[in-house]
Amino acid sequence: MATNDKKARARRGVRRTGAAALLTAAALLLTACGGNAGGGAQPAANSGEPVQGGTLVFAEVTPINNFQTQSARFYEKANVLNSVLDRLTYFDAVSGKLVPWIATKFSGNEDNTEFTFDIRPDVTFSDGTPLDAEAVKANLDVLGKGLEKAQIQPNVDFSAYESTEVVDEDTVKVQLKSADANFLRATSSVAAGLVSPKTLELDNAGQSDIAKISGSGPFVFESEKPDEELVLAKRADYAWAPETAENQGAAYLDKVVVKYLPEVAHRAGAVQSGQVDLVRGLQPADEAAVAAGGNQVLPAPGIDLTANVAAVRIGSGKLADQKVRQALQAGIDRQALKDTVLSDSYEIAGSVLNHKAPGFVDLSADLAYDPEKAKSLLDEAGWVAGADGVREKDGKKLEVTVTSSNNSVVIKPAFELIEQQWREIGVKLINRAADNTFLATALQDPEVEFFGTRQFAYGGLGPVFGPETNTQTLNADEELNELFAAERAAADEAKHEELVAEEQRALVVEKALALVLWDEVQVYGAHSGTNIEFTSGTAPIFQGAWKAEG
Amino acid sequence: MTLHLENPAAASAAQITTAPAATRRRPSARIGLWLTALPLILVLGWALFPGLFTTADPIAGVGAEKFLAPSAQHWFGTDHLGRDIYARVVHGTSQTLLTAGLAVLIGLVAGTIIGLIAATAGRAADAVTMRLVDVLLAVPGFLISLIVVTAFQPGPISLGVGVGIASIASFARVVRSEVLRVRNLDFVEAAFLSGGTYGSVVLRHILPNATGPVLSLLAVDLGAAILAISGLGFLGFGAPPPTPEWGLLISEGRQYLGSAWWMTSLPGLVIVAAVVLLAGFGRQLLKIFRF
Amino acid sequence: MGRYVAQRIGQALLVIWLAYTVIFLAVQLLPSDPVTIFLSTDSAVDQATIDNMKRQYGYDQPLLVQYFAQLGGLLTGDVGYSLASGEPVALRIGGVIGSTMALALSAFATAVVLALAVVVAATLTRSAVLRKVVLNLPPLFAAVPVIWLGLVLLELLSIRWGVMSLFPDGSFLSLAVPVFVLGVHVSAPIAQVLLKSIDTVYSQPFIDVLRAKGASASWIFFRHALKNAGGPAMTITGITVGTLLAGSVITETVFARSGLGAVVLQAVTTQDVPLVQGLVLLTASVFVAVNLVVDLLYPLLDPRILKSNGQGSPRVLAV
Repeated sequence: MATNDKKARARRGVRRTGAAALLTAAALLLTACGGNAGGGAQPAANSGEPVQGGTLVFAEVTPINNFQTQSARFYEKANVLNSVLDRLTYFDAVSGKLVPWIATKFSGNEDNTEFTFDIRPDVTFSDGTPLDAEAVKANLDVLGKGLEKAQIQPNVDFSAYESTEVVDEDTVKVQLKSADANFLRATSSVAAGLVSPKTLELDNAGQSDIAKISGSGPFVFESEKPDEELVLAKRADYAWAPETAENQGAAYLDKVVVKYLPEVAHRAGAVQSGQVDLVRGLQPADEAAVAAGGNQVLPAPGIDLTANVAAVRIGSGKLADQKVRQALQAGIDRQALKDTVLSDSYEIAGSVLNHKAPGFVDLSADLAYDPEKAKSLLDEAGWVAGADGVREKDGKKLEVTVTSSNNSVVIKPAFELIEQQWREIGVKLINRAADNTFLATALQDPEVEFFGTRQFAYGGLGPVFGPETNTQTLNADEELNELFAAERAAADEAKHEELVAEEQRALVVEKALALVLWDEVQVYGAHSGTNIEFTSGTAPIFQGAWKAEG
Repeated sequence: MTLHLENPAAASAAQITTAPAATRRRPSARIGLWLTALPLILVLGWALFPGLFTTADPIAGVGAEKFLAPSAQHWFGTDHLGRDIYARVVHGTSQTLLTAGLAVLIGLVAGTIIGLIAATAGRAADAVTMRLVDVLLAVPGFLISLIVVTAFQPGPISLGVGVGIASIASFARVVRSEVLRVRNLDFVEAAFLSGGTYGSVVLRHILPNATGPVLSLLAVDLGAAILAISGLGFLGFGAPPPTPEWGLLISEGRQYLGSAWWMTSLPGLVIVAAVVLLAGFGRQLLKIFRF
Repeated sequence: MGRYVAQRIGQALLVIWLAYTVIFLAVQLLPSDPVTIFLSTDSAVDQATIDNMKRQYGYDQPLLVQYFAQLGGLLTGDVGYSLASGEPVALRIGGVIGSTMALALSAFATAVVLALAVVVAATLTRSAVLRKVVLNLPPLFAAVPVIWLGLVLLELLSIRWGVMSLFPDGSFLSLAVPVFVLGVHVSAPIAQVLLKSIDTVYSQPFIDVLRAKGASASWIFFRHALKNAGGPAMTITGITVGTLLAGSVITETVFARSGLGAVVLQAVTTQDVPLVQGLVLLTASVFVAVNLVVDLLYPLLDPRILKSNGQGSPRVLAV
């Protein structure tokens, strides 16, 4: 896999400090994850010195018109806001550690209830307001408590937040209601991006309007044509990139133009014909053609996210018995998924967390395809085959429904294949994946058995699967929540890791509330001259991007 | 897609016989009728006995055979899961015709009632019902379809109802104008004068004599409904997989246009052919029934 | 005449009001609470926030109260706020309507030209074969799915041959191709109505008189047939409004153009009720306005209409 040398090299370039051992490990991991699908010739673009100037055209999947930062849990939003907003901390995928960004130093007390951030001096928002301790406090307050007058809800990853004290101009001290081992990580999320205090004074419509959101990031809003394009211009005085970023100053590019290509069919062609420099959502069927044309297929692993899962809701009662859920878990042939509807850019899930996420534990032995086991588990649970091959119990058929957004290009075909696989064990899957209209209601409907999704897990698995209103299971499982609480409260790092492992086992194996599919990855197509890397949340880093001349 | 409304439907119902001073030659009309009807009978065969026309499984694919181009073995090629597309077209016919048929039925029944009332029940009724038709025309049909399909889940029934509501207006208009025409014919006047009740005259004389254009519209509208449903599928409002349906085949296959052109193009050609044939069939019917 | 005009305007307003009411009722069918959808991204929603939002937008009121409040707002020019973006509905629609108008009007012009070409060719040609071919064009135009034509043209022109942009960048082709795709689709009903009415004109005795007098075929066609067929063709214009708008939705989606199409889809997908209502208000108004103009112009073209049809619905049925 020659292709990953390039990627590993690029990653290495990003790192300035760190042990060689870690580096090698990271390179190995990247290799393991499998890179370019085409396996063809790699373009020579990714070498040499960065080129100043130019406009990068980036094709997003669908236009959005609500950029309210706290709810930046969609890629379309996060991919733009990532370049507009800075965060207190940055997750460095190579070392797997948080590194300083707007906070030059950060630390927590022993029991993870109090955190201190040293704020970098001389940082300003694009509207001229200084990014000082007061501004950070204003942001943290909104993250932790929401903003009622602008109908902004608290950020789920900040549920333990109590208050912030401005110690001096450059220092804040955050008090939590209860211990939270994941609090620091949550400050690295795009949804925790810092905005100008003036932005926070706007009403909901104002704070949703990208033209009015003022951040301290390397790019600022320039212009917009609704539903067609969004133009970001570089901020010439930017000088506060994350510590590990190779480019510590202003972006190389002058401008980034975000366009939209909802039609999957056109994405590969857009890159191949040079009409865009970067496109998100390249489908597996087109990867080979893009690589063969000398362009790049760039899988951006979603380390900050859970794996792609079918999260189980037990509201309809059909999946209330965990044996049934375990049967369905065993009834998925993940290798066939990869071979048929995915590609080498994708890695089969080994747990509910990404292989490279801190605390990942490999459960692949428990995830082997075993239709016989699935059938006997279903028999044990009392579901017997009916006349039409679909199992029945108490006059109810084992018909289950899946919902998902159309954000992922592979999720619908994946469930089409799972539907075929489950047919063999006598389960009928009604595939409503990628139907956004259905999702609008199904998201909140506990009777819809599966939600096909992947979620940002900055605050750990607790906020994703814990609360009663969590959209994965729509159910607060008491045992799980005890586990989540213990994990958050764990002060000792080894103990914390052990509990994170236990959470994964509970979710995937014992309770089987998350049928895991493949590690989250966003596959980008890039023109041969484009040099770009991605955050651990799969967002393109435009600040460090450049285009080869010619 | 065709957005239905009165669109080609209503218009071509009353199709051109042909150019100036055309004379109607019945024998040739018969031949034309059979030329259009025979392929349609084949399609009907697909709908009723799909197993006679293909042995491939339309819903279970062979992963290793994905994205195969058309060949002797797979006439229309295979899709992303290795399913035979010709088999999916054949097996999708019944669902397609049922959904479109329901749409047309709704248009026909509701439209006939409205049109009949408008034309026969006096001026006030005419004004009221025609305003109703105006409202149906003023609210874009596809929006009605979208709302109906969203409100209930997409499936043959909701799609049929959604598209059907949108076609009521064109039926109402055709029926009204036909009935007005027939009503003024001498024998109808005579029937009224000779003491026929309203109901009996309508049923015995007016409706039977107005059937030509309505039947013709029926055929055309069936085609339009197929297109409308495929358009809804394209916008993401189609019935869930794996059930094959013509419109869904083109709208789902389009994703692979760059790498597997056959997935959307061949079912597309089947739809075009069917819709053109239905329009032609409608025209033939009109020729035969007109007097 | 004055009374007729007033009557027609009254009817037009009535239709708009009815359409608005129908949609108000129809959106009640939608399965979810508009506010909940707006609030729930993928995180937990707090009941108090929902209640707050509902209060703010008036969704906690009884249906009848909501209806009259909204109708009242309408009369004062307030169409409400989009739930999904928080923007005023008028602004959201106003921001994109220009693009859709440009597409729809150009497509309509193209459709008329195409339809005329078909009619002229079919009527004046001496070759029976050519006539048969031309006569079959409108049904074919109507049968080709807009999606399919659009996608194939994009694949060929933009990706294979690289002569046009995938994005609406203002270049000639990036407008001309969507206009052509939509125009072809819309030309079918126009051509069919024109053909039909020309057919009717030709069956009238005065044409035979003209022929007997030795007028040439093209003279008869342009001077008499086309002129007399103009009326019905105008009425189809009114009806085309709906087709154009609906066709725009698909065309805009295929060509990734901003416009009403994207807004309609978003509105329905996110069940943004105020936006749906605003859109219906707009389309109903446009439809009614165009038909009003057609109806008012019609008597000028053909004064017989007013006399023969006293019930105030002078529209010759476009069937």
